[in-house]
Amino acid sequence: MIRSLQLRLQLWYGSVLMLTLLLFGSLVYWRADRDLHERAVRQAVTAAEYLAVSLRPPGPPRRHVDGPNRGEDGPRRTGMPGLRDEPFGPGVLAAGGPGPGGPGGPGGRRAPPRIPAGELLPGSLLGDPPPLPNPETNLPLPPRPPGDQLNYAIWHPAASQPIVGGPRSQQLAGQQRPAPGPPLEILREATRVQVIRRGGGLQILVDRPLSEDLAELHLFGASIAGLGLSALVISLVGGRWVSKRMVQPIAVIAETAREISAAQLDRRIETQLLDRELLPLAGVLNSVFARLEQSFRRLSQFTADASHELRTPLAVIQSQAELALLQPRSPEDYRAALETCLKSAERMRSLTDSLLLLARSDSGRLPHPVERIDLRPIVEEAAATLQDRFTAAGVELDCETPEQPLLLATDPRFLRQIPLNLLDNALQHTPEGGRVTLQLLESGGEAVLVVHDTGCGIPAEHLPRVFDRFYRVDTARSRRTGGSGLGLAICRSLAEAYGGQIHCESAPGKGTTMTVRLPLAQHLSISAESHGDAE
Amino acid sequence: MRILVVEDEPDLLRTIAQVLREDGYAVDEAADGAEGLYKARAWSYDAIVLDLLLPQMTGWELLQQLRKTHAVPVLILTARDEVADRVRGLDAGADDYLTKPFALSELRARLRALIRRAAGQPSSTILIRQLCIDLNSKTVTRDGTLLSLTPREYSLLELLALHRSQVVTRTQIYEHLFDETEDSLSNLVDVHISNLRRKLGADFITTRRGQGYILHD
Repeated sequence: MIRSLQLRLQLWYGSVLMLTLLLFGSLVYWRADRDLHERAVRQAVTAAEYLAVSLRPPGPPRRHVDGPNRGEDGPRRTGMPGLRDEPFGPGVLAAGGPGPGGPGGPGGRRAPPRIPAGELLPGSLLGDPPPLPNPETNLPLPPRPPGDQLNYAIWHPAASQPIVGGPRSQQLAGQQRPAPGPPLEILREATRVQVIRRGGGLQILVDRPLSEDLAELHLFGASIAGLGLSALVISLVGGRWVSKRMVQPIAVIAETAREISAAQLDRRIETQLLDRELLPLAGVLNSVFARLEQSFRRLSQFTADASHELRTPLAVIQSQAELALLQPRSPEDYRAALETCLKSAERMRSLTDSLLLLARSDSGRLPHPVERIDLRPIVEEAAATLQDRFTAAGVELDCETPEQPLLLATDPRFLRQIPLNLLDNALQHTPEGGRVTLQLLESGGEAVLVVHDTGCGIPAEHLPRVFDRFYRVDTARSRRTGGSGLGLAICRSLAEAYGGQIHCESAPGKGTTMTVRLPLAQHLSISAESHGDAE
Repeated sequence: MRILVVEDEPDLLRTIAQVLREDGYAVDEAADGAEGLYKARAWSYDAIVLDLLLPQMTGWELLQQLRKTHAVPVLILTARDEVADRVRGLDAGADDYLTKPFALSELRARLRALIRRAAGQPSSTILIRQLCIDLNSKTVTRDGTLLSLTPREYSLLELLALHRSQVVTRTQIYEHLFDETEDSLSNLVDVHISNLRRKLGADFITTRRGQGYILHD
């Protein structure tokens, strides 16, 4: 398989062209070949007729109007060879020059036998057929038929040897007398055409060798082939140029695509001057680049944010430890310094855990759930875990769960993060005296977890981005409460990883409602067992 | 010397403020951009330590606003370490840039250098007759003998030495020696001046009545 479009294009083009030329050339050659044979046959037939006519004894004028076929009437009566002065056909006679005075064609290389007319056929002008001459001594010599390549042999009934004539007549000398057959027989061979004319007691064989004509034909064929070949070469060279020009825009696209690297993702392929056929390709590539640029930007933003979030607690640990070691201090000071370090380390650990969880969720490497678990105990446990913090913050926490189990095919370790993060987030944004309600219910084959708070709410412009990583509506608040900006991002990532979705509704001053929908496991048969396991 | 620290991470703010106070600086703290800008405009600081990602107003915005009126040296202390961020910070008018995490010793050294350069003092030691003030170790020797000064006394001497042969007003001394939390009683400066005179020798510091104090070269 050839992997070059240009080469393949050219090969196809070349093949089609070659086929066309071959077909055309063959047709022309075949036509010329046929013409040649036809011409040779015509010549031979004409010559045979001419010979037949010229050797026929003169008869009533009406009889020889019929031409060559009249010889069938009877060999005896027409057997007398004779000379006819009447032209058989204008072309033939003009060329051949029949008659005793003018034998020999214009192109004859060898002088035809010259025999005076009186000697040739003494009684030819008599009305009655003369007695047959002695075949051995007095055979009439026919005139040289038209055409310089014609050889002939004439068998007289009385003579055993044929009278031969023509440039290569000696080849015919040993030829057998033709067997009886139709008055006109045409034998076609590859290199010769033979016409046998029977009639008037004579068998006339005209042999037309084709070697010279064939040589010419071959020359003609060679010139056609040469012409075709040069046409092919010229078109291939031209085709190469054309195909190169056609392929050029693809090379330009590839070059631009190659130049678009991480450093300059904002570049695009120029589509202004592009051919219509290449527009979809360029369009697809450009949209891929746009998506790539966007995700690259998001990635570097995420990396910068993650790095920032990790550096800050690291800076606290380093400076706190350095400060503590700067001079001798009281045990209380050391204790405070260590506590600060510990707090920062804890923050870093939680952050790396979150990042790792997100990375796993992103790459689809969350463990495959092996069992169905009930969502209710998980949610209740999360609420119980955070109850102390709610109490300390003066925020009321209500938890409603349904009677029947809600079975999900998920991993409880990761699923736990969803209610934990949602409740934690609600707590951070709800002032003292507020209330957070958690509702778990089943709706349309899904488990629905709703967490509503009476907190400050989220301004509309922030709503589309609350699930973005490291996105904080109020930076100051989350700094004080220790939020990393990843809680809701993790909720979304987990919900989507387990085939669910998360939704946020909020208005400033009216609180926020977070809704998570997770698809329920289809088979409820092992509910009791799973429920027991989960608890 | 008085320094403003603008930092939104409470633990870090506390730590930096503490170490600078132990160095003898008067330190003010600000937890967000708006507070930082307000304080930077209200008081005359010798240097400002500024975080970039601050609530309410970013460090860049603060710097742009501040630079319209104040030439105080600013050191940016941030977790953003990309070249573009550094360039943006320095172009916005910062004098130095330090990325988190950092060594406290480096922060302190950079602050000393900033204060020294702002006072037009190229060397880290100041020689005034037989008196030698080492700005790095914050020690003073007279004829090779180490003088024992309290941090406050040292700061006062450093302030006078950095502005030697110039009159330093009592207001200036208050502004540069005491932070916002201290009650600035007027006789506190007089107490420190008299203590310094006792330790250095009477002929170094002269009083310009009604104007302030001057340290003669």
